[in-house]
Amino acid sequence: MRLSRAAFLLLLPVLGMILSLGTGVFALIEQSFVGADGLSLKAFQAFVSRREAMSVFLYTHQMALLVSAICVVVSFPLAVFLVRKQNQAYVLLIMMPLLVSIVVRTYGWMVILGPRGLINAALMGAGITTAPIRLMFNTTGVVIGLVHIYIPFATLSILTVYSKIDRSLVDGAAALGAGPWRVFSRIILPLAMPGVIAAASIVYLLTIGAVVTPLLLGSIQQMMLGSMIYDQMLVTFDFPSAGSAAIILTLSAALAILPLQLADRWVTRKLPAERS
Amino acid sequence: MRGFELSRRRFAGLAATSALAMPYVSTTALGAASGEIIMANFGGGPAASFRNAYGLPFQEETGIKFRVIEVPSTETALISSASAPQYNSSYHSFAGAMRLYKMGITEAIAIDDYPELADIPEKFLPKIDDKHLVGLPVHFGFYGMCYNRDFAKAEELKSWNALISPKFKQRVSATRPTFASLYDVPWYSYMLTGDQKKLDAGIAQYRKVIANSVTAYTSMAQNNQLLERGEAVASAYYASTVWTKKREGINNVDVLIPEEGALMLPYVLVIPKNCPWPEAARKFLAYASTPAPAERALEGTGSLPFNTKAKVDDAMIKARFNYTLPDLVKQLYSPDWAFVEATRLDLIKRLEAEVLMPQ
Amino acid sequence: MPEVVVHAKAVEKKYRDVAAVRGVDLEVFRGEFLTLLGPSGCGKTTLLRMIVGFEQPTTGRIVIDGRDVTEVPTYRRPIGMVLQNLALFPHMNVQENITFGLLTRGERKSAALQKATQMLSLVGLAGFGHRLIHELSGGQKQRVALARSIVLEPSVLLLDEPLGALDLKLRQQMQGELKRIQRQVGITFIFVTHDQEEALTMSDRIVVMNAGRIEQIGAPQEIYDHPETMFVASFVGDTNVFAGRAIATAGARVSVELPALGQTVEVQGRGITPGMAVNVMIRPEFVALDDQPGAPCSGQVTDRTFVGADIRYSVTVGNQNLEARRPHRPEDRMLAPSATSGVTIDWANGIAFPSAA
Repeated sequence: MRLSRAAFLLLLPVLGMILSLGTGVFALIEQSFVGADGLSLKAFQAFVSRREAMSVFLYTHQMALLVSAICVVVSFPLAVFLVRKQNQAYVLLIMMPLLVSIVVRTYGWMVILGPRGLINAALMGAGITTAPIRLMFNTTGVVIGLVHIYIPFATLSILTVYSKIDRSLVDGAAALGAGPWRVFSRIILPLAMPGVIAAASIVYLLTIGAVVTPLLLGSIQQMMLGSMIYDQMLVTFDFPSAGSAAIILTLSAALAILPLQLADRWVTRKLPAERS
Repeated sequence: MRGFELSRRRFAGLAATSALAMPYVSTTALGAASGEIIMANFGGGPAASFRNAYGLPFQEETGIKFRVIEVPSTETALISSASAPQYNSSYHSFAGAMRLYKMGITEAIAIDDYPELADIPEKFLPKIDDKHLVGLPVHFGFYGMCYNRDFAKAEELKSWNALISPKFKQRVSATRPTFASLYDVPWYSYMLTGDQKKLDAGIAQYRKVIANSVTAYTSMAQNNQLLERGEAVASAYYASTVWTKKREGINNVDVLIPEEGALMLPYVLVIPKNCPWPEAARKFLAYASTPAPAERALEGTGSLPFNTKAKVDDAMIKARFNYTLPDLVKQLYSPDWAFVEATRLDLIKRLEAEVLMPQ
Repeated sequence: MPEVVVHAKAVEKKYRDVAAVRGVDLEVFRGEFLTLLGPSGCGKTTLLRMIVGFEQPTTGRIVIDGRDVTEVPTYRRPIGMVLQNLALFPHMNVQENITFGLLTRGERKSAALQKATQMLSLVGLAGFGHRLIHELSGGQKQRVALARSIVLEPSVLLLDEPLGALDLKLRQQMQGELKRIQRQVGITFIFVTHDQEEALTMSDRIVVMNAGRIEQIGAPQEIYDHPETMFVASFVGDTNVFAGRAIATAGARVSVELPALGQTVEVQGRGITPGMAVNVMIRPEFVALDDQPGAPCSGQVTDRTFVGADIRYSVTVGNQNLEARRPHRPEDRMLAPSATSGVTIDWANGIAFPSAA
């Protein structure tokens, strides 16, 4: 293919982007493999041998699992509701939080969940508890914050698939004697599964990379790998550690997503391939 | 074959040109080519203070244009621009400046170039050797006991051990290992043993504080909010935030120095190696070492001058910090920052191993 | 007296203020092939959806097998339904589609599989069990949809225009197939269509509906030969209509004056009094064109369509357009457009209806 000079000029910004982004990534990868004494896996060995690093790593994946499970369970009925309503205004309502920065929204949660926040003030005011309940600066807070942020993503990915399910399949199944539960479990859920899997994958990946929410709504035991990498990069300039942690994070995320991708193939194996 | 050679050379040329062009574009965007002092400083208070107290008067006096670029972290700014320095000057903690010098990013400051240094007590000079410093000390703050007056009384916070008392269980806050390694642990180590190098004591104390904390805060914005709302009633924290809040008319957060004393936080100016205009940068540092700018800077951020010739409004210092300047200097501890810096990365890892694991 | 399987009693359905079905009473007999026929919007699909339970009647009751099922959800009604778009489950293969209902009902998998195999050979898809739905042709999909409903042996099977999407040839083939299968399994079919030819060829009885009401119920031949309303007459089969005035009545016969032809003719007609304005319908096959003199009137051929077995002519008599049809024989001479021809009408097969005005 021959490119005209003008077309080539148009490619320049893209090239610049790839160069500037790619160089950084490449440098990080290089620094994590190349030590003072040549090529080595020292940075990785160091990561694996640090108990707290492994603990943060495991906690990160646990959170990703938990948050994506909750997001899917909450988003499914939400998506069904939105499709039934047939009203764009509701979809807009779900999208609206995306317009507000995560930091602002997370600070909002602090006002609600904090020891002197709305919920505790109400509970103590009503005499239900005498001491504030811990709703933040622990896993609960991080989960609430992350679920809240990722629900629009999960809802939209389920919604796009769910809305394409032919309503007449429900009628058809009912006429074959299937009650609501069987219609849901055998017709709706299997057909919506690609959306559910997409939602779970997206939320899993987003959670794995979360930085701000665990920092603000968790305490120090809720440190997630994203925050750790951030510190290593920007506070202590420990590039080999940051690089190896980032590579471990990326690879483990890919590994975690793999079963979901296989599941997607499995659930769609009988559907036409041109399905969008 | 010849064609291949040519195209490869052309490609290499293109790559080299664009590589060269990148820093060129960014520095021209910053205006370095037009001859001015560009300083990296923390966004918000410090940047504004430096612009008004140091930069603009300097510009008037010398005719050299002065500009502050606000960055989230001056260390990051210098390290990331090390291959093509954009800044002529930058503002750092002692430890930060030592790290940068060790990394070869900043140049040594020759003591003989700055006669005004004679007016700074020698123990406050961050020395490399007898003739050189890692940076020019300009002023200092301190790491005091910051507290919310609505929820805690000064009498309850007479000792740093208040932070680990059951009385304040889950009602104090603390910083995370990355900054505890710089401030909390060196201070606790010294406080408990009289020797800043006996880190085990400091680590144990920090661990107890963390266990007593509602959370380990992750940004100054977050801890400001925690203290103002009373989610945390006390914290080992930058006294300058109390100064700034009082200046804004917010009076419920205050600072005190417990009976054990408190940690001094000194700040320096550095010159990046191969900076665009080193002569002007040195001129600016010389200006910064005189008493006048430090005197002006006090009101904005509560930064206390090192220069003993500087005349300061002691009544204002007393009102905002609750102590006069001589009182403060007497109670503040100045550690060996070179030791703090040298042990910092290992200390962070040790602290993380202590406090990151689920309890 | 045949056994009633489905009984719709005074069923009405209103959407807001608009009535889709108005006061329908209908009895469906065991084992019959009943067709609901009418133009789109006549309420036939709504009636069907109320029988299956997708819609609730505003008033009236639905009784199936002697049990009032008005409040019973679809999945507990003893019915089957083939939907317009078939609604085959795309994530299941043919066999899974067919066993779905059986397994839902709690039958054992081996028994279900055996029934599915039998059913596949009944509908002519033996060996197709493991095919995927998107691999099937239109006609094969119809058969699967039919099979998965029939395998449940419902009291009544409802079919909502299932052949609509097929091309003509396949459609005619499926019509015959459907009829054969229905006879073979003996299940009551209620078939909805707007295609009168389809209704005539397949049904035991036809229910003609218009504007939410039943116009006429009867065997296909009865509906065709003896329409009870002008609507039925014009909707089922082709027809010519003359406006006229009744002059005299005698039993089921009536004399009508037709101004367009300047003639007075005697036709069938009930409930007509002398002096009443009427419309007289006469089917094209009772209009004979012959060029021999002596015909009561003459007309000019305006158009001619050759459709194989028949030739259809459009003729203008006076200022009235007429459709005529005559069987085609190779030895016959065809009339050319613009030819003049004698027109003879067999008025004994004409029917008069009171005109709406």
